[in-house]
Amino acid sequence: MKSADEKLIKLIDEYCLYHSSDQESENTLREAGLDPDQVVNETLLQIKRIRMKLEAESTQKNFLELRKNLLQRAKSEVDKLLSSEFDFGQFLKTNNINLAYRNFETMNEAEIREFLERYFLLKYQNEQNEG
Amino acid sequence: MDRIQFDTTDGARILRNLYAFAYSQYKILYKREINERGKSYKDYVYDAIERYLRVKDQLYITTLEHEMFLRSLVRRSIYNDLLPYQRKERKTFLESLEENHLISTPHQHPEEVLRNFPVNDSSKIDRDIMLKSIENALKDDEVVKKIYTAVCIHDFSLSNRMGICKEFGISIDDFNNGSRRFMRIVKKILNK
Repeated sequence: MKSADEKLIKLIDEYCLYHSSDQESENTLREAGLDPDQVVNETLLQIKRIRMKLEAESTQKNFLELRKNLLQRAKSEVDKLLSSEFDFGQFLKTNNINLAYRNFETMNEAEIREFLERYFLLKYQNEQNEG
Repeated sequence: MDRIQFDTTDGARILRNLYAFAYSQYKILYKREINERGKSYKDYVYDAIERYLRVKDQLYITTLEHEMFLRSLVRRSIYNDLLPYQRKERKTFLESLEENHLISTPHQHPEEVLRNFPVNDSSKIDRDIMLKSIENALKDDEVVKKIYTAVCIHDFSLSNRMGICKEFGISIDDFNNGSRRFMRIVKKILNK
């Protein structure tokens, strides 16, 4: 035995399906004071906006993913560099890097690591853009 | 894997039907232009389309099922928003999809949603009175009574014309006229 709620839900569903069928939907919209063609055009415009939003989200996601991969690559490179005999001063000189207002001799290991990670990330991003 | 192409004649048909579906359902359940969540029926259409566009590539279903899936998204959102905020189950969209095997169940327990519908809300549906009114209105019309029994008791879909006619001994013409009368009665009472 079906409950009143179940019967009512079924009635509402059947009612909505009937009024949104191929034969009835135009009448339903006109009765609601809507122009079916205008409804379609408005919705197509909205779909365009939604698609643009989704594309922007996807680009942002790809960018973040790419940046994450490049950062990981930069971190590995820095790990490799720092695990061996590493001369930061020589590294700056060889790569022609200007620290601008900073004295590299006063930088501690964490600061050097951070600097190098940023340097390699930027380098890889530039390579990516050029490639 | 056929997806809906919205900017075609068939796409326009699907959008018209979806709009009409959202409008009919919203009007019955909310009886106002804007609901408590500040949403109109249009918002439910747009939300459903956005959700659809997000997952369409993961759906391995036919075009007709894509259309049904879109409707199910509208239906589920409209029903779910009837729940009082504090009792609403917070599920992610993907969890719901998994639960429903993408489209197998087009709704999320609407019976429960109706049961939880706030008692003092001005848009509350007096469900028992509504159902009694419908049953009373069709009691003198044998054909409509049979169609009601087929749909509400035996779970036939109104679109299953042949099935209902065969099972309940109704001619096609009687069914066509009867289903129109049936829908007029339901419309009058649901939209009161």
